[in-house]
Amino acid sequence: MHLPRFLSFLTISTLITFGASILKAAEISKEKTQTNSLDPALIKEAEQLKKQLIQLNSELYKFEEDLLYPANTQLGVFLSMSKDSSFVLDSIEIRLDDKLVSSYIYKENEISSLKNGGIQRLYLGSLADGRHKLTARFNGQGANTQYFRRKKALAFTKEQSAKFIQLVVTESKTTNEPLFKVKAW
Amino acid sequence: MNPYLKLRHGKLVINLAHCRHIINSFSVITVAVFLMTSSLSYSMPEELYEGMVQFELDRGDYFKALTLMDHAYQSSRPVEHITALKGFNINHDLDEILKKVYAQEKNNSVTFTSKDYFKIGRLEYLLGRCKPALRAFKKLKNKLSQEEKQEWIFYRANCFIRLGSNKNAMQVLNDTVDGIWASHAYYNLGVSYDESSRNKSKALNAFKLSILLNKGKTLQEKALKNQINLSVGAVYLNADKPDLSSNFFKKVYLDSTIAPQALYLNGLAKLELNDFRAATQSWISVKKYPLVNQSVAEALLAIPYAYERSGYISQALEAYLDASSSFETELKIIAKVDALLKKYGAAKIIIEDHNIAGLEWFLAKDVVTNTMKATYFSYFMSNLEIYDAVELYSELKMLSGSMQFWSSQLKVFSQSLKGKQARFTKKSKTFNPTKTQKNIVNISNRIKQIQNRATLTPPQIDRLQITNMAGSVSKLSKRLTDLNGKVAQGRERLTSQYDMNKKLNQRALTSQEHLQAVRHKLDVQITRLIRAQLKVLKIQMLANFERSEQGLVHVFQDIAESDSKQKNRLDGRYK
Repeated sequence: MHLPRFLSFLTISTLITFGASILKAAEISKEKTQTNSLDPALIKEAEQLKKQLIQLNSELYKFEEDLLYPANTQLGVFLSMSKDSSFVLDSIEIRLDDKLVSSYIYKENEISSLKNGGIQRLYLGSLADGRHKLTARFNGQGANTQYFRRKKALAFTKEQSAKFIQLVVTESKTTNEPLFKVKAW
Repeated sequence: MNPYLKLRHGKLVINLAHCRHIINSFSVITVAVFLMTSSLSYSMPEELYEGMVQFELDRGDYFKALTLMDHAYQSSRPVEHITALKGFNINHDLDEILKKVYAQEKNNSVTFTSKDYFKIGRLEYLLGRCKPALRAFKKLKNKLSQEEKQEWIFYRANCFIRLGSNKNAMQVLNDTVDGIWASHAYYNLGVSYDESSRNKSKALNAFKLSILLNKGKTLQEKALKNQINLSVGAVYLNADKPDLSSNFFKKVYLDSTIAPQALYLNGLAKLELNDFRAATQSWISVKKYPLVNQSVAEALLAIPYAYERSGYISQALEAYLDASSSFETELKIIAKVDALLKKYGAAKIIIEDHNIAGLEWFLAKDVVTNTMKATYFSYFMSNLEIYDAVELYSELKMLSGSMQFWSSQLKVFSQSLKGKQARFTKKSKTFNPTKTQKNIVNISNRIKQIQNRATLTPPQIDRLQITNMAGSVSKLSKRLTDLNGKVAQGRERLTSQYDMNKKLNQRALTSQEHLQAVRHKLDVQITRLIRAQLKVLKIQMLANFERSEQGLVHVFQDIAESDSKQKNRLDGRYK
């Protein structure tokens, strides 16, 4: 049997060379207890700082929203997907009065997040009162890996209050083709 | 003619444009300012707000999710809150919040859904507490999605394995569905059986099921499949079945991180089969991988042994010399990397992208993953302590970037608010409320005069819309009164808005400084951890070098002590 002899050679050789290093290893393991982990006080400080920054970031977002998109001019566009939709959304483009205002390319986990009830804010902006047109272009694959490029347009009137438009991706139960609905809040 | 009163096409039209313009321009400012400061909260329907938080949570952007969560959300959805905290590695308060969650459950003050129990179980599992995790998982009522169900089965099976009950784990996996989670669970069970039992058939069965459930399409699935093949091969090799083991080692992809192990073990299997040539071939192919991987070092030492066994003594000596030289070179690199770490710190050398003159040999980036930096980075990241520390460093770096962004935004806001304040002052100077009030009174008197004209008949009064005009003037008068109040309020609000911007900017700057300080401290500690890891590698490499030198001595000694006629086996080069 060759393997045992081979291994024994290695073992002997290893033992000889490691004879000296066993002591070293003992020293290392002793040292390891001091050097192989982060200082808990530093971890605590970092966590506290993270919490402070989350709070500050939240205040900053709200400040920005109130400053740039006041409620009387605010327009928010959202996207959601029905749970049973087999449509795999690749990307979306949002046009407001024929001007591209937002586009997004989706990752797999984002699609499953949308199907789990998550809602994505696609656009937040300010808009003057009056008649406007919102166009959403959906690109993706439906059932049977068929590729879809669909457009959904919505004419709406912006009044003196915030307007929220929710785009909902569903599926036709009869044809299994994706359906795009609009819900105005 | 009075500029405010014109008779046009038989209709009396009061020219109130001037008054309106002044009042309206102020109205816009006051309304906007009022709305700006009215309330600092996300103004949107609850359903959309909760959906937004859910989206960020599910896609793993925990920082954004935590940013969006207000206090009301945190208290009404404690499970989501702790999930996000754990996701963003804020572990300090988790136990306290979990206690509250359990208390709420006990008091029935909050109703938990199946998903909530799933999340609690997952959290306990991630915190390494299997018993409470299993308790939470037990409360689920099969209302999970297919993907979550797979995850649920994985956690339960792993918990039972951790608690030492492979039998229960097997039972959990009996109702399994296919997919990466189930494949992982069976793999873990196989490893557990292999470690705990002499009978390897159970381990092999678990591994085989793991392979069957693995589609091997995604990167993750491929990596797991490689790992399973390596483990099955190792089980067969340990069970003295080298021919079978070799078949599994060969299935490990050459671009995987565990390819050096597979090739080295495949060489061992071939050696057991007395196929020295195949063994040497397998080990030689390991040489292209980085030497920081111990399998590569073992292969370098095994090559001369195989040559020696085959009777190729000169090749054996050459291979030992080659190995010694490789170990020596690597030792020099280790010394250089250590010196760089000491001088510049881990952040500059390992974590961030820096261009330091003269260090291109180490810091060079490429699309390929086998650059010097990538090799050492992978080696260091295999240590979980270092991995966690670097992850924390990256999170702080991301926060630093976020604060820098806000600082620049706040600078823009500050300029914009200053401009608004200046325009406000300018407008207020051009606007004279007393004069406007006087004009309104004049118009009102004029309307009354017209109304009181005896020559006007009721149809004429009607045609001239005198009553409407009187109403408009009265409204205008009221708007002017309101506006006086709003102007004062608006000025005050713009000032408070400006002050708030200044305060937020100050906080952002202070936070940036704090972040910088913590990142520096962390860099020092990561450098210490990495240098300790490097020290281990150095000792290992030194041992490898000494082993190859011993090998050389061993060959020479063997020749010297040999009584056979083959004693002059060396060729001219080594005499």
